[in-house]
Amino acid sequence: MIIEPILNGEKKSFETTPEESVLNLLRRNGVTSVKDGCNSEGACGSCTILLEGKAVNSCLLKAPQIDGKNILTVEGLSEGRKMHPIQEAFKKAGIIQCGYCSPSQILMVKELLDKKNDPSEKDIKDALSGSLCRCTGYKQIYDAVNYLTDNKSSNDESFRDDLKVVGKYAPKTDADQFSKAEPSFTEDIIPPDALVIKVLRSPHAHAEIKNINTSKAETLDGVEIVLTHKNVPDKLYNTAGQGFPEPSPYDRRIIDKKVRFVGDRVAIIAAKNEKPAKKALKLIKVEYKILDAVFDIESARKDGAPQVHTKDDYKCQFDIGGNLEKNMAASNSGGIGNMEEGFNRADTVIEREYTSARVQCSPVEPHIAYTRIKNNRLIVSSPTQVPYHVRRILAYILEIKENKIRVIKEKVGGGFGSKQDMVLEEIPAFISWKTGKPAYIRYSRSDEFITRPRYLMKIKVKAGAKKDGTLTAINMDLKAAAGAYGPHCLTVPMNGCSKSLPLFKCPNIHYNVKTYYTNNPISGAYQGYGAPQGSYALQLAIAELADKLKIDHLAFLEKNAVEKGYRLEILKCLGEGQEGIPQVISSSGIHEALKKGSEMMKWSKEGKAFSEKNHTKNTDKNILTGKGVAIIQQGSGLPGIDAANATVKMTGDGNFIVHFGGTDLGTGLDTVAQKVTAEMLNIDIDSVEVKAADTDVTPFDVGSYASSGTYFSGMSVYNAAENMKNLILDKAAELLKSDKEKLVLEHPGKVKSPGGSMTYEDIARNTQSGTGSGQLISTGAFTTDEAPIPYGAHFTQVSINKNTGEINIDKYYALHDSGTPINPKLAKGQIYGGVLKTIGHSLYEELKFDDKGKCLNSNFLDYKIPMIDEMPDDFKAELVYTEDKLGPYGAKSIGEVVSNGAAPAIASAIHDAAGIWLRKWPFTPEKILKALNGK
Amino acid sequence: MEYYKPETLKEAVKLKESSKNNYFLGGGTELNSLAQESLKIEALINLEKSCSDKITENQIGAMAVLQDIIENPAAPKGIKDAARHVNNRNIRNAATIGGNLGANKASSDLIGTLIVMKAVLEIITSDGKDESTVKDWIKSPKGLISVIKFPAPSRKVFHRRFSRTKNDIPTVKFTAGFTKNNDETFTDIVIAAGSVAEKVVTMDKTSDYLNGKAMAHIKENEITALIKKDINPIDDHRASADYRIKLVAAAVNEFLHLVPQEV
Repeated sequence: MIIEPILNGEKKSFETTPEESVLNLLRRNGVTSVKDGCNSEGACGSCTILLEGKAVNSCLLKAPQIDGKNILTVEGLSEGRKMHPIQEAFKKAGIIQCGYCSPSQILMVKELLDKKNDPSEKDIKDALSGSLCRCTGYKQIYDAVNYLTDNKSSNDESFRDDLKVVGKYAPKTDADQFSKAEPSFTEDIIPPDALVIKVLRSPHAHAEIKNINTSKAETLDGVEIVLTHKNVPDKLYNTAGQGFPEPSPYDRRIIDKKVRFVGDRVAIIAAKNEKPAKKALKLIKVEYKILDAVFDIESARKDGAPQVHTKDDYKCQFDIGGNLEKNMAASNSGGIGNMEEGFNRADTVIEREYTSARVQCSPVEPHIAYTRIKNNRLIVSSPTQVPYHVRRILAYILEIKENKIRVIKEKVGGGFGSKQDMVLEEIPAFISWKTGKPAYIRYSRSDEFITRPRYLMKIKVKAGAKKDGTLTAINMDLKAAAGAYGPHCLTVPMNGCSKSLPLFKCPNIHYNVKTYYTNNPISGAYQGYGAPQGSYALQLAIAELADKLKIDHLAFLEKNAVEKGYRLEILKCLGEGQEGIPQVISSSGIHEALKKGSEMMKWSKEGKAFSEKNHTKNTDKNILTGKGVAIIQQGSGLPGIDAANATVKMTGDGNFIVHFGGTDLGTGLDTVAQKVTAEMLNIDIDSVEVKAADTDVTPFDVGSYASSGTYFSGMSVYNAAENMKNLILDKAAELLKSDKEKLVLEHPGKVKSPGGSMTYEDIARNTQSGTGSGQLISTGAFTTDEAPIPYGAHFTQVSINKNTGEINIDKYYALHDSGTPINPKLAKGQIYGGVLKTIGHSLYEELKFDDKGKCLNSNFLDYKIPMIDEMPDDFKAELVYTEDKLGPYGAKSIGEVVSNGAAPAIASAIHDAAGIWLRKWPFTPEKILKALNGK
Repeated sequence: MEYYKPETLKEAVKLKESSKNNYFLGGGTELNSLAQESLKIEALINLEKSCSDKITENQIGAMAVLQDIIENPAAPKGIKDAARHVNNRNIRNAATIGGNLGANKASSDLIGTLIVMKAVLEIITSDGKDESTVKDWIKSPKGLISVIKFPAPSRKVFHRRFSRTKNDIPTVKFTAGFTKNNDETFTDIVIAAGSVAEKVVTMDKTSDYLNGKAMAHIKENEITALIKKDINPIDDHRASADYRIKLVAAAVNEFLHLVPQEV
């Protein structure tokens, strides 16, 4: 049938069918601003269009429904290169991060402002109520609307008067691209002739494939290839994107003869389009021998438990402490001081166990990869966080040289750690390499939900302190469930200790980490990388200890928290599978964050141990209110392990292009590179363009994880820019006939000597001429054995309905020391996004499984994540400046530390309100009510 | 799949009755969702031309969109409040009141309200026009709902929605329609509960107990016992059956204690 909508003011004629969704119709016709983030369930809003001026989900409309109707998409908002005021406001507000859902939010605001000139906060919340955004925390959307309605000046926060660019706000380098919804993501560049890949997944948690018959699927018209364990390389590999040699076992194949969780790969189909691919899946006949399975840590470690892996499918680059008979994937222990003596010195000792939940990263863009062959080379496009690791692993599996593979990181529609693994790139890569044809795979949302959830951990904390609150000993006994395979099985749990224990000045510390295989989906990296679980356990144990000692929690933290200059001896033990490096704290904003936060919360006047608190102040007698606090830290990359490289090239007119390997996930890393270069070379930021994360074009970088971007990638750019500065000064000294020492760089892009000056353009014209010395190109590398630690303190106030257990976050204040914030507004965006995400983890997010290991809530209708209505009533992010010498212009990381505070702060606030300790995530109303009734 | 956009209700019903796999299409937020992929749809019958979307004080056309109901000053307050409980603006901009009824889900934010408001449905069948209460219709759906009629004066409604997040379907949706008397008692009480059974159910025993009873004579333990007789919720990943009972009991408690302050 033919339909004729008016699309962006132009009458169109489209051939379609009644079955086709408007989302599909639009994408098929080149409108890429509309995205499918929720399997067309209408839960994410990424496919929003304005239909006759109203924001609606195009996934829930059939094509004929728009016949003759007016449709507006973001493509119709801007006029040529000129952006619409709403797009400009989004850019100005710093709300654009990964950009995947930005077009939908822009349209929602358009509908709002078309109807109301002066919308209230409630109106804004309502207008955006259909947007599911995992990055931003929504807060800065209010700023964007305010810019448009109040015409308010941006009044941007600024740090470091001695710097021109760093410490001030600048829009992300790709803000225009995302605001205008230019094709940016992997799914936007897939040609129609690419093979579509589908995976047949195991219905059993643990089974051997006795027989598999693919003959009918293979002969189905449109099917290109069918893969099973019989025709893929019999090669063990590891999917974790970690520096080689990886501290994770090589324990999986592309497809194995044995399946280890519900959803494990059984067969793979590549076909000319979706229809035969889906049909072929149903034609494959599989005979399984079902094996007993283990679904929890306790069952996995029992004597005689079903063994998930054997020595034939478990190879390590070095000993990581595995014991397969016990289903132990990895283990480690260590400590400092004398534990027995430490606990003997304590007046009070507590021992508690805390359990976290499996939660999902839930980037709105699911995992996707598109591969093709060009000139006998394999080209891979995907939203990976680790393009160089992907290249290395693919070269290993396919047994081809790394220089025959090009991995391009396309724009990442949210990563949060889930894209630190090579989750699926090997599938289309193998198919393209084998068939010579382009191919792609895009996970459905249900696939996504069983892909790399956060490690479930049970953490026993024993802590002792003297009557005056001095900590004498801490022991952390951490058990983790890896699921069916073991990417990050040593390092995520280790990080649970290494990013929580070093917060306290305690002479006696011990930890014991054990990770077990189970027949659950494969766990993986998730923002915080084990630290949120460790932080929840240790911080809440400290709160419990303080309460038992009848010492105000905040006072207890102030007494025991580390400060600048303190030597963190414990880090010697807590390495990434190898000996770590003790650090001396280069700067710390913990105490200032605590001070500032306590003032904001008016804590010093009201903060008391629960037993001394008056709980009847609330006017509604059914509502209990309480306050909580937690101190937090992360790292800034991995000293001694991570590495980054950059190149700066001068263009023919004296401007610059930076090439670096860092992978911007929407966090603003490309903008960090741009600003650091501009600051060093005393130029405006638009004189710097950035090209990143393409293994053919940009130099090596481990990728974005472990909060390494700003520090490692940023420092490589800093070093390259500094080298460029020296090249400029050398050349200017020669041309100006002056001593180099007498030259200074002047804004914008000039070199001044006592006798004259010249512009960068003059230098470029000279060096790049036929008589010149050649284009100025500098390189910079960065490795180190020390890294600045970002700190913070989170405060919250909660209200609890004592009849229903419902909980409301009245206030949430997140105070962060990230040294010199390179881009304050983007740093705050990271805070808002990370905090809201972890509020969701703390209160309701949890993957649920039946007794056969099948996930029960693998969609956004059943697994809820925070939307704009879930923002705390009063939500503030504050940056606490500290002077630090290590990072680029004193910057520290910010991306992960933000996720470590919500669970312990909320749990301690719940105790403050209601006198109950919730030692298991998430703190659902049902659990709260049960605990209240059991008091 | 076929697609029709009939001009009249009669034509629409005829098309529907030509196959059990033909479906009426309102806004599409229920039917078009992939959650309905299991349906074998032979034809979609778009009601845009044939079915009214008019909103007045006493009746609402089935094709009226939820957001339009909220924004229309004439619409009864009870149904406006219920429509607002569909938190997602994008959904409210497309979903119709008729579609919400037609989907007939236990988690519906509207059905309970329509029951306690004593709304009457105008039904079009091949035999002509008929009327049905909402309670009867959801038990045995038939025909095409064309108009939802409200008795005058509009009944007062108390809503209590429990959910994990605002955009989640309710763990429990409690709705009570009532008349408030000068002596602080309630009469003419009708209570409906959503998300506690396969369909929205009325809580007749609890309503009868509360009807006309003075606050001093209402016993919490007696109410809980009656609630357990009225509903038998399931355990699922959202909440346990026991917790759902507790939520309903809490909602009754709030109804009794909050409404006197508000009315």
